[in-house]
Amino acid sequence: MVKPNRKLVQGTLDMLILKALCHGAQHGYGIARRIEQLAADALIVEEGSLYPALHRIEQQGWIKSKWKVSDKNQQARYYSLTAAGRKQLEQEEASWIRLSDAIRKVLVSA
Amino acid sequence: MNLLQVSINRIFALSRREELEDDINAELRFHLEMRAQENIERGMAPAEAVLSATRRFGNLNAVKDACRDIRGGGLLEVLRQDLRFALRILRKDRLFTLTAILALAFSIGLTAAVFSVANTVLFRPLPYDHPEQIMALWNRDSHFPERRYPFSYPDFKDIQAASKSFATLGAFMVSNFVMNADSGEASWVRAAHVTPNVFPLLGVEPTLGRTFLESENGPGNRVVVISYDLWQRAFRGGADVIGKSLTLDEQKYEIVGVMPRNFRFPFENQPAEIWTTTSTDAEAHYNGAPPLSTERAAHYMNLVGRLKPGAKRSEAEAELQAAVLRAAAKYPKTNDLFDGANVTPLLNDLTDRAKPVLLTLLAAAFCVLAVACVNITNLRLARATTRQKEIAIRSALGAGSGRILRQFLAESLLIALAVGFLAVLVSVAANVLFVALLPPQFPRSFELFPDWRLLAVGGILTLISSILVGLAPAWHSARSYPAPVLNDCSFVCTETAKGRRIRSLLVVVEIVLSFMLLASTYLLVRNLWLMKHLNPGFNSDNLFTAQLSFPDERDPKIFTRIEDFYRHLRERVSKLPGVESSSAASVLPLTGLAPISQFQLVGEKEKLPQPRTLLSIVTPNYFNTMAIPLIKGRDFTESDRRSSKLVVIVNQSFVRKFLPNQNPLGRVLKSRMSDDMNGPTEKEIVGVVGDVKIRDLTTEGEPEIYFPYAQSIIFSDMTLIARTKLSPNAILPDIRRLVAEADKGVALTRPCLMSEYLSSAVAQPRLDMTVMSIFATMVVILTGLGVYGLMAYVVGQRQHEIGIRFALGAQKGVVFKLIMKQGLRLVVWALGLGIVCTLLLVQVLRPFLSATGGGEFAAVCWVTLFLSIIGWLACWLPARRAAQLDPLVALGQRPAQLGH
Repeated sequence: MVKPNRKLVQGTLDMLILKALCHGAQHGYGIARRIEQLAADALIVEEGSLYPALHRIEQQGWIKSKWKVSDKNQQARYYSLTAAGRKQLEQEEASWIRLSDAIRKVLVSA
Repeated sequence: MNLLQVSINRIFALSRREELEDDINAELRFHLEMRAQENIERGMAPAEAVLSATRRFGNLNAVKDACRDIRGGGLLEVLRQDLRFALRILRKDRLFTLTAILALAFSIGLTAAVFSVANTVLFRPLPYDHPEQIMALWNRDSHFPERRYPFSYPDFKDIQAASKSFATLGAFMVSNFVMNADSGEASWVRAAHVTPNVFPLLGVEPTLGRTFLESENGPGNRVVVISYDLWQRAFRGGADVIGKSLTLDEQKYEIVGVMPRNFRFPFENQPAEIWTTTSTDAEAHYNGAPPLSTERAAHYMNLVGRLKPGAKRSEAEAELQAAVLRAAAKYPKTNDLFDGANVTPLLNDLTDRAKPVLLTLLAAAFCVLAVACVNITNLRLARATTRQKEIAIRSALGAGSGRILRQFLAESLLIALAVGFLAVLVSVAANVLFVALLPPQFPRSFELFPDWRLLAVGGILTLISSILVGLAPAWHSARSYPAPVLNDCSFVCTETAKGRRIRSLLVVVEIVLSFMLLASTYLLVRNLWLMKHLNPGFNSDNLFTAQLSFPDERDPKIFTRIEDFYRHLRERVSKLPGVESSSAASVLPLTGLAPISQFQLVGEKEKLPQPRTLLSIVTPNYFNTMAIPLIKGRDFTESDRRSSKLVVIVNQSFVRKFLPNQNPLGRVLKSRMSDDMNGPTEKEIVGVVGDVKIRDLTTEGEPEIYFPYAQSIIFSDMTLIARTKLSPNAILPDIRRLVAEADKGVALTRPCLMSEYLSSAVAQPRLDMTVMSIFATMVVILTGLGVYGLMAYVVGQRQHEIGIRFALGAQKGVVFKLIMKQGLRLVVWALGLGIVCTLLLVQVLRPFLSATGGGEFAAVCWVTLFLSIIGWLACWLPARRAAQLDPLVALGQRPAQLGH
């Protein structure tokens, strides 16, 4: 099963965004920072694809957004997980773990 | 979010585009500020911090676009862009846009109107139960093949008994009554006498009360069913109308039922408002004669029948023909007139005579529409080629061929909307105009008003035309290659030879269709002009007419009453100031209503079947009043009374046909009027008069016999005629007064001028001519534009070549002749083809051109001349422009203006 590279990345980015919102609402910049933090800076989020991704998964109903005042007293758009999003995150996590296990098995055995 | 929410969001996004834009901008700006802030905290200088943030973000605009695409209007947004752009393009080339819209809208509107009329008249089912089973039955006589004859009551009974194919067979007759209101005022009302089974046959239930019982068809029954309109008018829609009575022909009739609104039987333009049983004729007729319903010779009953389910019309017709022939053999004295019969579906019976007109007008309308579509397509193709540069640039910038196709379709959509809107207006106007021009006897004209069907047809035609017109250029342009065009290699012809041939062929088709339409119009105009100048045989100037209706009385003294009435009336009317002379007749010329009589010339071998002529019953002074020339002998006088010698007057055609080369005066003929109790009586010919056109303006040479009124009083309803010195309408009040003075029970109806009858005799040709000339005008304009458009395009295509020719030293005249030759060759071919097609077409038109023979040659010559001039002009303008081209522009060294 060969998926085009981009799609894989897109799916992965969606999952990372959902994970980043697991612990509370955050604006777009904050999501990028959190992902980098969680990955201990091993990942650099391509900012060009972050916002389209955010808007896309908002259309799909996994997150919702609201304009709020940030802690620095600025207007920002805050995103938060919906119930459907939480469920989606669990599913994705599970299948990702399964997938990486399978790949690791293949790589180790070869 | 589900699909519905997403769609709603998209629609909102469309309307709040600015807000969306601000939203996205704000969000991304926030991100950049935060990143810059972070950079500053890390120690960068403010300017560098911002720069670094921006660089790290990537292509800001691309991200904005991506976000906008996701959250924005999506497909609708794209469509909106396309439409806006299309609007701009169309506005830039106003002339083309306007031409296209007007041409298409007018052709579609006219076509929709004609189509809608044709559809309603020819195909809309009659408002009865299972109308396709209802048939009209007629007697036929092969000597007068275009006439259809009713049946006598005894014949009807025989046919009813012997019929196997019909489930129900009924009879009806139309007449009129003089209805007396309570105030004593007499008015005239149209009525139908029906056998009681007619209402069940039609399958329409009364809205109040009931229809007739079988027992009510006998003598002594005076019951009526009235129409909805009459109920509203005379009884104000009161529910207690059942049981009330009406005074008709001075007798009381009881109302037993009311028919629903819009019920109409017989289905004629002039509706019957009262229905009664046929028993009213089953009573003693004048003078103690046997009742008409037992008279086998009295053929006045129309038959209508409903076929049994599964029975076929042809079988029913064969049955009827057998019955008619049987009756002719069994009762030769009364029935040998008929040698055939017809069973026709009722709808066809009513509308068949309008079919040729409508179908021809429909064909012409579609021609015009075809020409308009062809024209617009050609023009658009030409424009598409001049817009190549624009397309190439867009293509190079990344627009797929799908996007470009959509662009063209968007233009088509806008044009279609404008066309659709305008076409609706045109079709409604055309419908109204058409109905106004209709001759009064045109079938179903009361149903022809604009309704949703008209709009639907207009909408469908708009859709089809727009698709046809929009598709070709869109497809053509989407396939073009950007590189050669952008490189300005204008000698690379993106137009193939095949394409050019197709376009030339289309123009030829246009010219041929124009030719045919113009020729038809010429012939129709000529026809009308000739008809108007045909001699009707009498003088119709200042001739006042009015119908006088007597109540049908069973009183034997009715004869004297009627005779006195007409004698006194004529005396007094003649004495009115302003009246030159007056008279009365049973039927007017040009109405085609003259009845037929059989006769036998005494002194000759008896001919079987007996010869027949038209007959008319007139009072003395008729020929003088109508200015019909008296050729031989004398007119009727007051001394020709019932008790004196029986006399007749014949016309010249009669003499020519039956007494050639003999002196008709003094000859005796035997004929039977329905009040001759003892068989045919002998009558002497005492005069010969000039022919009049009886049926219509064009039928000539019909023999006619005139009977003096006093000797044949069977028609108590006559038409009063008066020739006035000046204005005929002015004497109407006086006439009314005199009629009322002479006899209170007589109703005067339909006062009108003889010239109006003349005018309605030409109404049909006038309609044909008017509609055709409108079509022809449109087509000529379109064709002129078409040829011009093609030639202008050709000049554009050959620009480079022309530039080279100039550069090589060609004179302007040479270039001019070159272009002209190309154009004129096309025109000449087309005209040749047009001549051939027209000569074929004329055969089709023959039934419309009743007044003319010949004229085709003149038509072809004139139209060829006219179209040649137009064609020449349409080629001359572009050729002139080609000759005046700046060679440098032609060669592409100096840029020309984009778009033209």
